[in-house]
Amino acid sequence: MRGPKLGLRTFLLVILAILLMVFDQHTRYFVKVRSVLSTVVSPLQYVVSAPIDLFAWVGMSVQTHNNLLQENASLQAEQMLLKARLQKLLALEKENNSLRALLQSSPRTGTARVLVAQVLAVDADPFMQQLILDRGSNKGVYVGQPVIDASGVMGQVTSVTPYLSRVMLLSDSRSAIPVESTRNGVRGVVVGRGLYNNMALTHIPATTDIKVGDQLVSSGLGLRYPIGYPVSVINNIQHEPGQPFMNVNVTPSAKLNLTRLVLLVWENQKVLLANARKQLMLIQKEDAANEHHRGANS
Amino acid sequence: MNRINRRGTWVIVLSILVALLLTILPLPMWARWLRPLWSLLVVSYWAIALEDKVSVGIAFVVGVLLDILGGSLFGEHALLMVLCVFVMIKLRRQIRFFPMWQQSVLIFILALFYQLGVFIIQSLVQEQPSSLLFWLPSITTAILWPWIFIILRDVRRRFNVQ
Repeated sequence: MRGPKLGLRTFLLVILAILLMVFDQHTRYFVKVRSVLSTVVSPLQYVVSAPIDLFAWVGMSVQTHNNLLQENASLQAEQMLLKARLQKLLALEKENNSLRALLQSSPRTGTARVLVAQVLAVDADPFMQQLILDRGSNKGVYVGQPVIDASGVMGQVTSVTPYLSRVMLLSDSRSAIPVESTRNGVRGVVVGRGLYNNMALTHIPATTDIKVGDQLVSSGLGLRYPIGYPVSVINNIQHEPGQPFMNVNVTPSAKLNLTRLVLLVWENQKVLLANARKQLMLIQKEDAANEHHRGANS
Repeated sequence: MNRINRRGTWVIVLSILVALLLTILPLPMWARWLRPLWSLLVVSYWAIALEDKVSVGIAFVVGVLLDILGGSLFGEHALLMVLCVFVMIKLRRQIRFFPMWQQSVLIFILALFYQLGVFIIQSLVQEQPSSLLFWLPSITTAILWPWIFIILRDVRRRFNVQ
């Protein structure tokens, strides 16, 4: 008696699920639906994370006096060191800005607002390279916001709820970030491949001057990530003869799967835009110069 | 009678919540691929025990919750949960008379089907899983089935869920 009814219901639900998948893949509208539903399940995520945070807290509280003193001393030493470096950096920044003014170019540095967030101890789908942070839209977090840690760019926010946000790491296979080499300004795009410790620098022509160990920093051309933060280091270059592009493997600078504390950055869009315009103009000029050169040679 | 019924609903909801919590419980890197399909186990049990209470509708809701918790494509787990639970309900009369190891084999096949579905959908939308470890959960799911079955049966009798 229930047979056909059950079959019908299953059929309808299957159709519904397929429609959901198609909509989710092809429309932006679902970002909102997802954020509403995520709010409903966020208590679950807190429930899982809370005892683990508690253990960490207890572990910290029962540390011996001696250990704490040691840690304190080493932290103070580190702080001194960082402060000393910062002084030098500030002087350099000033010099850089005045040099840029001489070149009639807009200053690159602007102090961006940041917010410290903690990574929740929650596992997600193993295909997705993502994190869940304990800050959400009530602190002004928005979709597309860049996230960094102490050693480099981590990724960007992909969905927010009032109290939590989800971050797509650079290593996710949907992620791409425009970069430039600190050694000679070679530009490229770093894309993820679903592995924590390995990403790819794509579409690098075979004749480009790159070396293993080159540091790549964000160039800001995508108008999403802030300018000049470390993204990755080249660790392996392969070129098959006859192929127009090289296979370049890079290692992320940020500790993508180990960090507990991260920074959410509010980047000044105007600065990003002005900088991107400038860089694009430079690229165009270079191209024009190359064209001219080639024309003269032939 | 009504009170017993309502209590039964709570027991079912609670067991599903526990399954969802186990799904997002952080595991060390090496164990991440061993995680059994907790929600499939729990929903399958309720579906064969009380199919007029837990059916494809509940399976769909649990699947959507899994998609939101995991951040996967919306509807992916919902689709697979509905299909698996449909198969379980269709076979429930036979399953009740199966010895435990045969039930486990059936769950293994079901979990394999589930993983295959995830594999196909993943390779349609983005990266497909590169390692063979991806198929491990179907084994852990099958190994855990007898325990889940016995625990939930005791729970059901204890709280007189019907």
